[in-house]
Amino acid sequence: MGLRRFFRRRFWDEERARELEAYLEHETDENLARGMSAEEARYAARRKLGNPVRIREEIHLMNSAGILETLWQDVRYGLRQLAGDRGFTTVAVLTLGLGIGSVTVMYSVIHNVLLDPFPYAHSNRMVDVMVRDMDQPDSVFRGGLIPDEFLDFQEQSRAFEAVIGTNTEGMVLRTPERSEPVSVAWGTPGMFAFLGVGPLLGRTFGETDGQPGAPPVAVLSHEAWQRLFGGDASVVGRTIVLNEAPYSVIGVMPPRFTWHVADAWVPKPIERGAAPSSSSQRWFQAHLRPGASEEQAEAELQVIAERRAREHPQDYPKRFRIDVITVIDWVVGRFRGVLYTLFGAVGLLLLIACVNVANMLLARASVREREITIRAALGASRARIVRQLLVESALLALAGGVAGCAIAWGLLQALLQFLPRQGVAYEVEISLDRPVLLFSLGVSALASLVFGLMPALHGSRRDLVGGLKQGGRGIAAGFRQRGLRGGLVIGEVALSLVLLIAASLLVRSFVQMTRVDLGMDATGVLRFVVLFASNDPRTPAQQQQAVSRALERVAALPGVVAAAEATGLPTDGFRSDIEVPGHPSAERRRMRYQLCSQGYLRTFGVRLARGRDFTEDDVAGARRVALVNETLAATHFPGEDPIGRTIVVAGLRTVSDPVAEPVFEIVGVTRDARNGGLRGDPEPAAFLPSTTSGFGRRLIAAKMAADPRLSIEPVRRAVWSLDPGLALSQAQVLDEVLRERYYAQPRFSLIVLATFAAVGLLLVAVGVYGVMAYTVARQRQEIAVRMALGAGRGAVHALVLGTGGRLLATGIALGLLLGLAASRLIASQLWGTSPYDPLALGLAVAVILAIGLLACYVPAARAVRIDPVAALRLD
Amino acid sequence: MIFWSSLASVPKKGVTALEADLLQGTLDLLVLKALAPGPAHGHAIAHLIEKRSDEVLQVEHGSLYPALHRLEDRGWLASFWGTSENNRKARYYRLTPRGRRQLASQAGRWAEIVAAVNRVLRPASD
Repeated sequence: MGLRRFFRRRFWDEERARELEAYLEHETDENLARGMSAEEARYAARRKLGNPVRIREEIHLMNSAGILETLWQDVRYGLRQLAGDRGFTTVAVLTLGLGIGSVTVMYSVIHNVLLDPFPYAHSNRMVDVMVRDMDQPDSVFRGGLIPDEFLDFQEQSRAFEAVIGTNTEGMVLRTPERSEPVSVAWGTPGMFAFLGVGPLLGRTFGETDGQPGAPPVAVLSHEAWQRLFGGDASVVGRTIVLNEAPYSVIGVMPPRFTWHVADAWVPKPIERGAAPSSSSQRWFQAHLRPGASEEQAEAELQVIAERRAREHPQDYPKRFRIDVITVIDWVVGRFRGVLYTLFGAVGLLLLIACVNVANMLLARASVREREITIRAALGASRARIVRQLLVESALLALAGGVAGCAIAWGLLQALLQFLPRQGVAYEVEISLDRPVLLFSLGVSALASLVFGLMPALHGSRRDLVGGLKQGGRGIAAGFRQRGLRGGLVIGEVALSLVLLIAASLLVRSFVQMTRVDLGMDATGVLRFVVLFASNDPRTPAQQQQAVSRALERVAALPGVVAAAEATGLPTDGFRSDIEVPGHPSAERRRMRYQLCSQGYLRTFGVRLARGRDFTEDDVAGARRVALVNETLAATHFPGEDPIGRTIVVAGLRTVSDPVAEPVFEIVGVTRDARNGGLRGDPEPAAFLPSTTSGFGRRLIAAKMAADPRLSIEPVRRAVWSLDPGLALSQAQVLDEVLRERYYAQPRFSLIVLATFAAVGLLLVAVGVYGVMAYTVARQRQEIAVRMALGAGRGAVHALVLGTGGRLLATGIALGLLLGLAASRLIASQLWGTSPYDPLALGLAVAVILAIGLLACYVPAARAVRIDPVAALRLD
Repeated sequence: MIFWSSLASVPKKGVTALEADLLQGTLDLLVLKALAPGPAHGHAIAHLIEKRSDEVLQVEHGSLYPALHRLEDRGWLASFWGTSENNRKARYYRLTPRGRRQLASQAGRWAEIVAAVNRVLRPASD
């Protein structure tokens, strides 16, 4: 009822006016009847009725929903106020925006990378199962399970709801003019139903496609569809040739579906008794039954595996453990720590932003004390004044929210450039996270409302006379407020120092990291992977010869400085046991090895310390010679000359093209390459002639004189003109590969944290400046009196800088304490740098001190320019 | 003599909540009672109350209108435009069924209060 009348107030007002008019007519009639004159009758009627305007006002008031009415007034007034104080408004809105924006972006990254990276159904319950050798806990003994093992796990366990098995195999996609290596995933027929993602084009496969005798089909990934078929929709229904066998393409998946990072998925059930191979061994991927834990599943599978190990001891290490790990943990790994650190940092930033805005609101409210007092004196109720100030704060928060959304969007675009590939699932698609945007909007709105309310309550409590008298310049005014503002500045300086310390530690650590000598020179090196189909009719030795021929062709190209073929980079290597004749050892000793051609050391810039490099004859003749690194020499031949001694690379006895007598004579010693990771010590390593065995995927590497990127297509064409059947992968520029592998994650933390620290500094500068400028404005008279009494410029400077300096010093002391506590948290990401590194700490303190004093200096300079006469005459 | 203006309007400052409630309720009761015999317009209601109270309740008649408005808002009265006895347009008010129930209960309550107050005011001779 009331609300209906609220919206029809005008109608009701007119209605009442007519009604009152009717009363007057009636009363006038009666008065006339009593014998009054016309004028007298009308006048008496009016007197009897009273003031019609007041009556109508009263009724009008009953009809208005009072709050709505005055709220709109408050909003208009607030907008005028904010527009009038443009500097304040801009800074406050930007501050809030930066806080909201950066928290939203960081959380969005965390949400998309850590919490919900996959487009697959029930991905939070999705686990991988693998066998680990307890003597080598860092590496996985077996991920792709043996077919019988897989089926035993699936049939005898109860912890899983649904199970699929996938494994990838490098295959050759053959077209008349070229051969492309592609990664094909063998999946159990229920794979797509399990993953719960529909196709972009055509259809996916199901149980019937996996039946024996069903026509072979393949589903393409979006990326492969674009790369190999130019995004041609007519590819669905076409036949492609993989490893010389035809498959008809039945569908294309959407971009985010990158299960096992395959180019194509092909159905194939797991058959009991099948020999282990890349198509029959499968990764065991399952949905945990709701309520079942990873530990339960591990315990259950352990029992099944122990039973199998008793029957097939050759399939298992002596001491092994079944590991059930969620897919998210498997992919994200250590990157989790980085992201959480950054989220903590950005939380600090939001806090600083809120503190800043609070501070600005406090400062502003006390400047406005007089305005508030006048309003109160004119009859505004306390509630009304509080509401007015709250509305202003809310408007500010709203504008900050809008700015926050814009900044979040911009930051996200910028951040995506630096996101490392490692630790981020291929499926990840980073978009702004709406709930968290709402959350940070809420936090900042709450902060500005609370701090908008504080001066409102304080201001409205003032007695009118005192307020008018002091009006915004009282020296003694609001000690409590001054204490609060000082506290906020101290807190802000402290928080920002924490960020700065973390950033400068990371900078130090990153610099250390880039100084690490990888033991190789990747400049200008291109890397191609050569792939042979599993059903390739050539023997491994013949395949090796095909690679050698291609290498000759590549080496002869113009611009090639050096070229080599090998099984991998100097920073990697197969692992093997090592035996040293004449130095028997009870314990098991490990080493790494690579097979390579002559020219390997030159191509990768690995320097020879002693002895000689491989010759063409060494490689062509498959001589049993070896180059070893300094670590191997120092470990196994301490104080001896290793040249001429022999080592046994035991692992070569069991590879697919085995070597019966893997005994090698050491002919040279190379410098160490970082084959134990950037942080680890180098491991003993040997390089053996590539002709020793035909096993392993080969790569061809070429060091170019000019920009290697330009040579990618010429090299591929040269190889295909020789042998169109040789599947040569897209080339990678080695520099980029290494940068991505070693530096992308630290660089990401560094850039993000440094940005946050810079924003934090900016906020501190604004905050300190705001408070000091405000203090000077309030102390104008005091300063004027002092100057009139003969205080010099120096004394005024000292007064202002002293006030600011005390706040800064307290904040820095507090920040150092917090920072020292917090830097332990990022210690895991530091490398070669102590979390208490004095240089980093000193730098952070110096920067914040400089910025803080600069922010104080401007108001100090202004204070000095105060003209005592003018200031004292003012009001 | 009591002036209606203090009965009719929104409570003024200095008037306690109880007093305001009591007085406002009283005017409401008077209006409801005046309409019990049948519909009437504002002018007639004002004069009716004045006459019935032997002119004790003097009024600025205008202050009756906010009360009418309020009662209509509560659904106790309904109004319509009609023609008065001397052939002028006037807004007529009548009791709604809810208004009639309200009259009964408020009249009863009033009687109780008056009786109670009287008992208190009577000299404590017995």
